[in-house]
Amino acid sequence: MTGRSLLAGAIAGTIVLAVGVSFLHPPPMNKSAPAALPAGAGALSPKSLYQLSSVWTTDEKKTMPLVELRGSFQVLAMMFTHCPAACPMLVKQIQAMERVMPGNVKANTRFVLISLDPERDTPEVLKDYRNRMGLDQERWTLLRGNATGVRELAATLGFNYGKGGATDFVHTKLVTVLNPEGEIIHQQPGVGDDPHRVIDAIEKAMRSRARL
Amino acid sequence: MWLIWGACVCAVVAGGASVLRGAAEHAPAPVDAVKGEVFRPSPGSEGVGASAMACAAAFNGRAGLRDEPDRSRRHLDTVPIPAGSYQPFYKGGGDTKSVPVKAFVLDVFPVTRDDYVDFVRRNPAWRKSLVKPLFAEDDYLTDWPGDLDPGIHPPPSPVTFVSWFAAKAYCECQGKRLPSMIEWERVAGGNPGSPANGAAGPLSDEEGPDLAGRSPFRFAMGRAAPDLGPRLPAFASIWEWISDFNSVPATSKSANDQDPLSSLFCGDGFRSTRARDYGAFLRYSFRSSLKANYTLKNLGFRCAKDL
Repeated sequence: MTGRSLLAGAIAGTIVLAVGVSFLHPPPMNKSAPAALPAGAGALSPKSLYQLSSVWTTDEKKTMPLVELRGSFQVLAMMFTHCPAACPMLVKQIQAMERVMPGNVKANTRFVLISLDPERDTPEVLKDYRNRMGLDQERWTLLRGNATGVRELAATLGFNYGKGGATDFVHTKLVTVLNPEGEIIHQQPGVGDDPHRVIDAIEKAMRSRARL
Repeated sequence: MWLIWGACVCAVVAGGASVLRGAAEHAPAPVDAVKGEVFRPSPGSEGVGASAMACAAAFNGRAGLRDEPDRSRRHLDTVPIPAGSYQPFYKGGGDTKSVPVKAFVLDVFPVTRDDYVDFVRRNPAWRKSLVKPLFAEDDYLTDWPGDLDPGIHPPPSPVTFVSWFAAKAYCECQGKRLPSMIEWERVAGGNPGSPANGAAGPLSDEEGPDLAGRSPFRFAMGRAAPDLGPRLPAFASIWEWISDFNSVPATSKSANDQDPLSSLFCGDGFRSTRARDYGAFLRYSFRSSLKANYTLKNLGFRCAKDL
């Protein structure tokens, strides 16, 4: 046997061995790797709000679980259409914030309003509200759930609400920002006169996702 | 000759590797595998059926695994609560009237560690090592030595370090629910009519060390109202989760908050109806500090059920 064919055999053997060993390596565990995932792919982050199983109805009468909001930043608030003052003000402030968003933020951000009052806020009532408030069909989602789902979502957000008299609710004014994976990245009590805190939070999250 | 020998060795190795890989792929999944599964702790929405009913079947009428009758069947001990009324502690929206509370059924005891072991044995997603942070923070069951080991505690020992989500799931698994704020307060909030935090039912000292008054806040943690009937629920030195712990908006604690109080709420400002009911004040303050995934050493729960 010549040294050359021995060498050839060794190289061939090494290649085959390497290929064989590569099959032994376990497949990578797809634990939550938030930023690199394209929207909708892979398991949810263990911190994601979208792990809630509640099902909701839009003002177009489409039913959906919250996970359908995955893929964009979501600015989220809970309200009810019969709210006399605080909620309309909040919605107007969020709309004003939407108008001053830089283009790249705006392209990746959507808005969600969730009713505390599913008894009165039927899909038809929500649709009317959308038209009255001028909420863009593509960018704003209006949701109505059942009492249990609403209570659970509010508890998850840290949003407090309760009956305040026969027809009213008392509640805090909380705006929440979710990243595309449904994790809470920012919250503040209302938007107030300064929309930029929310915008900054989204920009910051976009930058750190781009770095990964 | 060497080449043929080398090729045979490599073929054997490669063949062995692929056999091993095949074996790994076909290995039976671990019995409690929850990877990638989205646990559904809220069967209150549409499609509730499967998980709630499966859990309920596991609990109903079944003796505990440790075969100690007093403890294992404790979760089946319930007491009917007659209809009554309760005056909400906070006046929201200008309403100070008492609210009626419908009759319902309440657990006599808070859920115990033994009860909870059964629950996590059957529902691996709620085990300490597997629960998701959305549903329970890091301290969940922190005083349990293991997933299925609640440690040694003199019975009856209420389970604590559980989150609202966990408590809710446990109750729902039995076809029950958490009591609401007005239900709990109607049963255990003392006597709202009296100027001080009126003591009503007895402290259940005979139930064992964990149910005796050891906390300085024991007086606020639950005392049975006098009109409940011959059998009374027993209260321990723990706060208890309720279904709507987040139903009283707390005032802002930030000194920088410019909003006047009234603009925080849709409706009137918040004023207490019973300013001297210190126990109620403690409970409401405590609840307003909670978040749904919080767990605390002295926070447990019990379940309720509609009649």
